[in-house]
Amino acid sequence: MNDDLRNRFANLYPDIKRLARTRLAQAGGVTGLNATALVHEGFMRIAEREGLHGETRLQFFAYIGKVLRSVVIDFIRERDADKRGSGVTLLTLSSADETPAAWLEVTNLIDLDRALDQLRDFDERLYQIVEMHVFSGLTCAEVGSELGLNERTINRDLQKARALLAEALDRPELSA
Amino acid sequence: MKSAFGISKELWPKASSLFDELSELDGPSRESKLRSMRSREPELVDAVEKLLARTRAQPEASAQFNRRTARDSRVDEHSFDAMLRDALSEPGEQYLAGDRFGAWTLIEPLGRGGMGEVWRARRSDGLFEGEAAIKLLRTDLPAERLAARFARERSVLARLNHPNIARLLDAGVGGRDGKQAFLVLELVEGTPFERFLQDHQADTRRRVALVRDIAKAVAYAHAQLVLHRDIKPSNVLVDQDGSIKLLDFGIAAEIGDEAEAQSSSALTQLTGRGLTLEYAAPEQVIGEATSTASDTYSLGALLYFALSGAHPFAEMPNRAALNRAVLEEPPTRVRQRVSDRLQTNARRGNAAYAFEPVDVDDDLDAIVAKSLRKRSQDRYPSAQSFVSDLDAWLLHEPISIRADDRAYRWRLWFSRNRAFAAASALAGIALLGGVIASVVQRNEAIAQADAADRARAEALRNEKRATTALADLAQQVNKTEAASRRALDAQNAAELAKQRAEEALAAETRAASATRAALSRAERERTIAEAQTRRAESERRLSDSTSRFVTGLFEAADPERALGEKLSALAVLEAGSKTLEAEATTDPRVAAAIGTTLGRVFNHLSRPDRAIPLLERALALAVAQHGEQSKQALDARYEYARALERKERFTEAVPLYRSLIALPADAPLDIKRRVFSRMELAFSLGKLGKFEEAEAAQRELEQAVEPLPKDDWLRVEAVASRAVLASMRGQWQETFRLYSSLGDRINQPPPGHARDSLLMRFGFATSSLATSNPEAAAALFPPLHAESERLLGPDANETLQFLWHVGFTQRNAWDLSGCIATYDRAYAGRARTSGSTHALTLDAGLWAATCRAYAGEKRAATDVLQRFMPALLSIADSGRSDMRNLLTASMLALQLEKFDEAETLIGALQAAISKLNLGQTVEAVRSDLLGVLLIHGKHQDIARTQAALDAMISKRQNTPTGNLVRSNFEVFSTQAQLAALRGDCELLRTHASAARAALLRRSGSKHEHLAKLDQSSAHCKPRDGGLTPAALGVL
Repeated sequence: MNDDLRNRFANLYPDIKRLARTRLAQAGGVTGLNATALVHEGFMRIAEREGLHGETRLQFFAYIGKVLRSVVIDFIRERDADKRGSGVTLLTLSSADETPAAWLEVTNLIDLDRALDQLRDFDERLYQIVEMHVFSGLTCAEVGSELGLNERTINRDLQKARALLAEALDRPELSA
Repeated sequence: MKSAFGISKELWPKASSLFDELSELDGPSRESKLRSMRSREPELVDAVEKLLARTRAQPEASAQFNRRTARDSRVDEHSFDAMLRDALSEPGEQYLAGDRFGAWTLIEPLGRGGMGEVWRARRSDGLFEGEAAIKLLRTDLPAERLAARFARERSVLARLNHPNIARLLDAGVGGRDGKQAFLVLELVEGTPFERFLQDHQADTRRRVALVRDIAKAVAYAHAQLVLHRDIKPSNVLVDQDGSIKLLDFGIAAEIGDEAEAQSSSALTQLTGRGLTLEYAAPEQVIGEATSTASDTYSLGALLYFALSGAHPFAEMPNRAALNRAVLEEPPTRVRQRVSDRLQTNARRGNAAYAFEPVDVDDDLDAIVAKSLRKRSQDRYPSAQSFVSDLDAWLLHEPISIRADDRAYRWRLWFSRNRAFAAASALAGIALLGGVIASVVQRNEAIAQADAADRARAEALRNEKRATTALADLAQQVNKTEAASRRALDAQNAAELAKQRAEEALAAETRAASATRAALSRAERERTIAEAQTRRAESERRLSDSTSRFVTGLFEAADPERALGEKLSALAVLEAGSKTLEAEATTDPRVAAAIGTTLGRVFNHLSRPDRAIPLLERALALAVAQHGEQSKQALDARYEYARALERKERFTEAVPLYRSLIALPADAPLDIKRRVFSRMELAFSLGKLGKFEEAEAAQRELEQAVEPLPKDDWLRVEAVASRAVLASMRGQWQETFRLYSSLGDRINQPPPGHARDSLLMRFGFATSSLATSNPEAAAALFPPLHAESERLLGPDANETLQFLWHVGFTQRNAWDLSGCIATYDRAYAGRARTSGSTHALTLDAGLWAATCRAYAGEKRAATDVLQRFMPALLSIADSGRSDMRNLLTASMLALQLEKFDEAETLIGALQAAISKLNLGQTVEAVRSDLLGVLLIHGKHQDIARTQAALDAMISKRQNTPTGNLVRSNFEVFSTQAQLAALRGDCELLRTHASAARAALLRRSGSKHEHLAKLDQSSAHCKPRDGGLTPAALGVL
């Protein structure tokens, strides 16, 4: 991501957070909707408003994934200040209706954060898919259409990414 | 080198595609593939195997999850999604006592809700003593946009100054990051509405009175053009004295996102966009434009809640069902709800409910149902009308809508049972009647028939009302914004008519004694009503885009009379132009469009003085926004020219018309305006006395319409234009001939030209008056006036102009009581539409006074003259109408022997004539003559008077008005009277017979002065100087 784009996204940071909070607050007690899907529509509007297209648009959604991830990490850090890393977090790695959901058990989100950074170096596309799907709430089909790939490919890539991340999180040298 | 993922980055692309390939294979094929590759690439195979193993091995917790689907409604507390939800639900910022927002400092938290936190706060700079409530809003609008919006709306909201509305003290964006939106509200110590109802065993009347007070506050705000948009129990507090406070006025709109209205996906519908679905009107739920009727809906829901302890759709199990019900289901009637709840309470021992419901009678039930209608136009049109019905209920008076409610219910029944209703209509009333008659009591049948008759009469009345409203509509020629409200009225009336007709039909269906003829009559009425509804509907759609602005105008102009009664158009327009001037922030394109329209309407109302500044600004805006040659700018220029022309600023209007005519053919100015520009140019030039140039413009006009078919209306207009030019030159024969040549075509205007047709008939009538039998001509005016009254409305400029001529012919026919009544009526109309000092108002008043003077009511006439004097003399830039008023007033003053006033007035008159360069007109001749009569009145010196008269005649001898002087009745008559005074009977008879002929030509045989002349001639004795100056006032 070049500096211009980074600056541009950084300017959107408060918007993204505010939007996410507000949407959730407005939804009140509505169940049956996941939080990411709920805020997702608002992000689509920001993307329209900012006139984001093509690659920039992809990076924007990946960026949102990062923002929401950091929101959660900050939250957990604060909540679990005294028992760092004791919680277990499950990531849904597929939400396509016809395929069984794949979950990734994460005991330490901060480790996950680092693993994701490494994944970006390792396979940029997989990283993007994970950010867009897991953290910014795009469905497999939407990720597919953003990237010009079919849903089946996205699902397989998500399985691959899950395997890679599970591998990384299991390796003791990671935290070194 | 291996990475964190157990495989090197170099090897990964290969591993990745192998992974893909293997996931397509079943277990055994996968095994054999891996075996075959292991020897060649052991590292790759190892890594991929490991990864595949990881995809198969599900952690225990996730295996459990897999038994449900990923979209299971219960999201596990450990999932990332749930964590995100928790993280986002935490307050974003932690506010602390002492934090400052603008000039406000937080003291202590008061509560937290979906919208954000509320704190007790104090103003830090000491400008405001005491405490306030500060709301720290959650909103997804960016801070800059919010700040701009607050700046725009703060003043409007702060203007709400009502004892039952919590005041907005401040609003802005601030806090530690400078981006937190906040609102500062009057701190209200009170009990929330719901708690109040729980704690106090209020009876029905008390509850209705509370809701009435809330509605009154809402009506007040509507008059200030502010909608609440989020009326619900939690926004109402009741203080210790039991009076209510309504919170959060207009705030819902401020913090909502305008883009939201466009995106109404399933998701937004499901989440309800933060709305309180229980109290929101259907149009709010689907994100359509809200109006005062949306607030009226919420008030109805609030009343429902207050009476029954439940909201209208309380039985809906979840939000999605509620959402659908608000849009589609009629709510359970509140009366039904109350009785349901009382029964359940008895069963369950009262545990489940917030508070006890109270008795609800039919009227209250109808009021609630009316306000909860799905379509906003079926509800109370304003909060004020809702208040009126609640007041009526509290006073045990009849409410406005019982019949309406019955009709509505019947209509629902009708639409549900359409097939049955249609079948029974087909089968014929006799058959059905026979069946029913056997089960229906005879007296009930009679009652039904009566009801049918009443309903039919009502339908007829409403139809008439609709017709009138539609005629009013036609008056606002180009579908102005003002038409929108009238269209709504027309539609409402037509709707009502339709309901009545349907009711009539239903009653008849049930009534044994009803006949087939009655049925078909009702059917016919229904068809008419429906056609009118359709017409009204299309009118309404045309102006719908601005209807919100307009609704606001009417509410602002007169909130008390918003229930379909006619508002003064002028009041509405004044309110409109003030709003336009005051709101500098209005989008300049909208300001240009509305300014042009308001200007056009002011033109129609003969208020060019108000039109000119509006149009000047609109023209400048249109040029700046759209360009000099844009349609908007050209339309504004055309209207501006018309305003100048109507203000008689012809020299300025002429170049504008010329520029419009000179436009290239592809310029965006429609053909009608092109043609009319030529016509108006000819007219303006004629008024300037430039007859040759006017003639040239007229010829161009005729050429322009030449290619059109013979019976095209524009060709009729062109002929009429020539006739008008002829009349300006005093060529009455030619004028009469031209109008006559149009024959019956005058009476067949295409839609939209009824007014033009009336004006031509008027031209024909005036030219008849000048050329043929004046008594026959006089008979043309009363029907013209009546038709104009029907078509254009009683206060339309044209109607009043025709009325003036009715008075004129009455004056000539010496029908003085008729003349007084007519001009009084014209005066009232002018005063209503144009104000009491407008030239045309003064004119009507002066003629009424003149007729009074003739009729001997000198005291009354003198009062009027003296009352009008300041207005008559204060005209700074006088036009022709002002000059004519001076003329009339001078004559009146002479008639009343008020010579000082007469002298002042005649002086002003002569100044006006020379300033307007009218020295060679009939008015100038009259003015000269008045000077002569004044000399006579003041000095009583016959010789001096005669000398002045002779001087005047000789002065005009060789001028264009010489002929006028030689054939003028007033001149002859004055000559005759002077001869009488001198006792020169021979000369008297000569002049008298000339005067007689002139007067007969002009006024017919009934004019009293004829008798007077005859009398003078008969009784003339040589040297008999007995006539008073008053006898000279024969003008």
